Amino acid sequence: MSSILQDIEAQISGLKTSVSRQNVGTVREISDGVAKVEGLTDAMLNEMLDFGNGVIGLALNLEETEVGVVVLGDYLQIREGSEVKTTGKLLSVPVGKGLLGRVVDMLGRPVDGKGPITATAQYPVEKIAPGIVKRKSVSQPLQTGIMSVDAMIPIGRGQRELIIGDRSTGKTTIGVDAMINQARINKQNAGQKDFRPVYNIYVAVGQKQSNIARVIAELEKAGAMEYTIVVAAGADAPAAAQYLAPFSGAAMGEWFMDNGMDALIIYDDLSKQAVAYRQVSLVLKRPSGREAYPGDVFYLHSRLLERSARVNRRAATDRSPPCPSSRRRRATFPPTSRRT
Amino acid sequence: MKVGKQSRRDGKALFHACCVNGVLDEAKVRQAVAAVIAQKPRGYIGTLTHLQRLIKLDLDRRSARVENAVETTSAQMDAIKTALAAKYGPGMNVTFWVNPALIGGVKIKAGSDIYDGSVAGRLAALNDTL
Repeated sequence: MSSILQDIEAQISGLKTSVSRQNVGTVREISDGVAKVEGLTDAMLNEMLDFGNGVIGLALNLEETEVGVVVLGDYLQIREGSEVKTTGKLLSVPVGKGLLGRVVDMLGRPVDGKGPITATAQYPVEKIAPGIVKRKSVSQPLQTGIMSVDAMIPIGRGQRELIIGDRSTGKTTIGVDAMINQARINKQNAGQKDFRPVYNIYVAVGQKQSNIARVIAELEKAGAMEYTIVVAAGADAPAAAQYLAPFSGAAMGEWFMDNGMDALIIYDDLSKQAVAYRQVSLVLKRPSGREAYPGDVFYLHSRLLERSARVNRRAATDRSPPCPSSRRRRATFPPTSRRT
Repeated sequence: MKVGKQSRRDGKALFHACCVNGVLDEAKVRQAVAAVIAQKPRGYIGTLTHLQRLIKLDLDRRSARVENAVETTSAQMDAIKTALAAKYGPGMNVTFWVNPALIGGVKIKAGSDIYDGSVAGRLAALNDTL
């Protein structure tokens, strides 16, 4: 017994005490979901910052005397003088098959009231797209189930496709029909050897809650919801959530891509994401261009869409033979990308 | 008040002019402020407002608050001051406080950094983990 006591004493004396170091700042100004924080000398671009009470933000502007932070949560709780801490982490979302059949917000938190989500991993919201060496050319079809589209404008796995049109012309319907068709094909061919199911990700940006609910109801009625993840950042969501929701959806799709599976992602729609980004940029006092959009609005979409690709076997972490791919669609096209 | 771009530039130039070897010189600051008030150039109120903000940020950067659960000895004070000067440069304004709520250990806030070696801090971290 005395030797055990000596062992424990030796272990306790051998313990190294470590001092934790935190970098903090103070909120100087908070308005429209954007906080200006003084201090935070170690803050990095796109780093997650902790406002306390479960409210987090994203450092978007690193200025000489302060940091411009976009608040992803209830910013009404934040006051001038509140303390903000760095976390040293990039914004990431839960990914995996546990999200199928669920409706989540841009942080991956469930909003459908069906309980917590079991995530396989956490993927960063902002990620560099696969390089040219990792890519493979598109050669596998993706059937939308709409004869005119599949006959005249065939779409492949790993391809990007734009759905453009005036309002109430059926853009969302084409996307929803494509998702329902993937679910139908998945069920028809379930269990077949070498069949690759296509999972769906529907990102609703700036939509009315009634529209989002209608889309979910349609998917549930057609039995497509079990193959679908819905990322909802409706019109009532903060501009920062609407701006980041497509990136969260892309991260969820990348998990399928990295694990030898295929996914179809539909952004509905990116023009609303551009408007949300415009709002965030103007509050951050970034220089504005045509129609008050910031100069990097095109980069916003290009870095998002480039993340969806067909990659070769070595790029996928899974050993299953066929190349994974994911696809995305846009409903409208931002005006600042037009040439005069 | 809203400070214009030119006023911000002027305030920043004035701030750098009042620094000697990277450290703010109090006498120069007083002299500069008095001169600006006397001459009243265009946008001088905005310039002085921005200068005030920069000085406040600089003072915050160069101030350190050391909290100890018990009274800090003079040897410990000197050691802490030396370590802070080595890390953050000269001109640090270090103040020492007794905070029994820490239970044990020391908590130092220097500029934007907080070094928490206190027992209360570790208990709070353990609580967060659990």
